[in-house]
Amino acid sequence: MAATQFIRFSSSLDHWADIGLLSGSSYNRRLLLFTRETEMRLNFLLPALMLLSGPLTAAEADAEAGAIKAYTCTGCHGIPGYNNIYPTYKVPKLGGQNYEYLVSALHAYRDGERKHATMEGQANALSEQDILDISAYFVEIAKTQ
Amino acid sequence: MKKSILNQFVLALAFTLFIPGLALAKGNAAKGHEKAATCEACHGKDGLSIDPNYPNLAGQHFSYLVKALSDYRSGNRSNAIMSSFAANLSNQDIQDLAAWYASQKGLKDLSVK
Repeated sequence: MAATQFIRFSSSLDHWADIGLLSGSSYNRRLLLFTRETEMRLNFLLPALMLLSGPLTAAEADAEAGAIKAYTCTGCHGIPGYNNIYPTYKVPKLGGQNYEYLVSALHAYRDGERKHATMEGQANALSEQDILDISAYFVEIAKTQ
Repeated sequence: MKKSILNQFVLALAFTLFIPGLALAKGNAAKGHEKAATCEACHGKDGLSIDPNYPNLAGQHFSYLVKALSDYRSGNRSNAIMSSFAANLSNQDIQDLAAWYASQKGLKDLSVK
């Protein structure tokens, strides 16, 4: 294979790596070949991608996405007996709780207005979209039972 | 071997001293119902709230309800509305109210599949 052909091939891989369609490892190898040209392409691509994804990030709760995101929650809010490491009281039931209340509770934990070491840690790791999705999940799951 | 038995004994003693206050107090649901007139204005007659910003209480765990009301009363949890209501409750009131709402049907146990 001629050297020029190989460079052209690498360059086209770079292009896919730029928009995240290549795995991390091959992207790292390609990084060595990161040129002024690919940098310019990124400068164009990123704002374009941000524009495209704009409408998708508008706040709308997705209970199905919440089902996956709530996996960690059910480690306490869905175990038999609802007992965890806090011996004095049970973990509250969330199935069938009100959406608005759940959102406000997670916000209060995230903002430090409501104190609970575990819940503050959990809420701080959530994006706004995560909070909406998880809250929607706990509303929806009760309807199917 | 002896040491581990001693450890277990100390642990058991610690638990018996620690738990009774919570395990023995159960509250009287019927009395709680009588005391719940104020609560019903927001949390509904059936424990299902009239406004989605307020939590449903029907079927919530007794011990969690006790914890929530105790925290409002002590200021550990703050809420303009709940803090003032909880401030006037006795321990017995809290137990009775918690027993009443825990006895209602509403919130689902997600551990039952």
